[in-house]
Amino acid sequence: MRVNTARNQIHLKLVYYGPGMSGKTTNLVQLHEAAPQKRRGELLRLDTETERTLFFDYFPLNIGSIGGYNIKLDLFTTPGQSFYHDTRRAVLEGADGVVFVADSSPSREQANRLSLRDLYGTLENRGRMLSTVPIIFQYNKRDVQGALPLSVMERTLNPEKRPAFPAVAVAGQGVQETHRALIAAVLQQLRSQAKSRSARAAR
Amino acid sequence: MNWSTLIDAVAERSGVSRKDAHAALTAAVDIITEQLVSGASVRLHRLGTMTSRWQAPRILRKINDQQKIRLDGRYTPAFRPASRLREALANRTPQRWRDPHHQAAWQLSEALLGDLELYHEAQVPRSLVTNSTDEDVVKTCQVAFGPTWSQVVRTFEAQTPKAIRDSRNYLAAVARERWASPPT
Repeated sequence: MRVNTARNQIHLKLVYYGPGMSGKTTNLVQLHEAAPQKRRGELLRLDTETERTLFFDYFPLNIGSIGGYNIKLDLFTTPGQSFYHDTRRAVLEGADGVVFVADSSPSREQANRLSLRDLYGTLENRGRMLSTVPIIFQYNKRDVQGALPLSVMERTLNPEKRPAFPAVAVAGQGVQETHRALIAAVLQQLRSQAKSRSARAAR
Repeated sequence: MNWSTLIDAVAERSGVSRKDAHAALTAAVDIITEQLVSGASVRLHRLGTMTSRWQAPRILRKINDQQKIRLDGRYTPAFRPASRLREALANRTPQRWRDPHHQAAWQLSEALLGDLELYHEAQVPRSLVTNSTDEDVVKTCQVAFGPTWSQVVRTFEAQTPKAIRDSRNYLAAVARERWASPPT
């Protein structure tokens, strides 16, 4: 989070994380298309020759004013391929909230688990307490044949019962709900941080 | 090992004469046989339990004229090895699966190569054969995937302790399991 008190602006970094081809870029594309032109910046995509994310996708989004501060979001995706670990770590640095985009295909069950473990490991290595990082789950590709039951995905990926949404990102389903839940969770986290700071100052 | 060499080995290890060893072993085999025939089981310390098992009657077909015949039920000998014996046999080869570092190395290799397959399917080396050496597999993958393979190796090395990497080439093993076909 970056706070510009002179301009009354708060920049929040939100990252879409998940295994390869789970739909992170699709989420961002859908959000970009749905956002009013005046409020969104250009969608930057750094793709490989096979049109897969090599570095990251990014676009800035202004969601308006809250508590006298203008809230600006920096939305990022990470490359899903497990061999771009360093890039993922760099993109995740300083993230205020994370959407974990899981793939509902049965063949990607193990990839989901490993990617989530990678996410938690990276956050912990950076000294972040997992309980204080807003993480929202999105179970994408609910339309694939033989999609893993939501109860199974919840049990294996989200035993802490963080907010989770089923989605078909390519059709725009579940994208906005996930995004709104993440913003709400991040703002809630900011409020509780501010409260504990003022409580410490009062002592 | 056969009966004669077993008697020699028993005589040598126990310090009794060959004649005495022969007598003892013969008596042991006779007693075990009698016990099994009588329906009892024989539990041999550190070796296992010998029992008899009932095999139900079944209908078979003769190969030459396809005529059905009824085979009577019968007792057959069965052997359940002791855990110590099972373990001794398993330990003929290293049992690395018990070590979580080895499991993690294998899982990481599966994820890395799974993503390679997902993102670079056209480059998957189908020329690999199941008896290729680790070196051959690595060389073939390097040629097939180019710099992406180097990226895979770097990621694997960064996340896997050297001792684990030195004990088994998991990338080569998983590549072989996923992509190799039996030699013609």
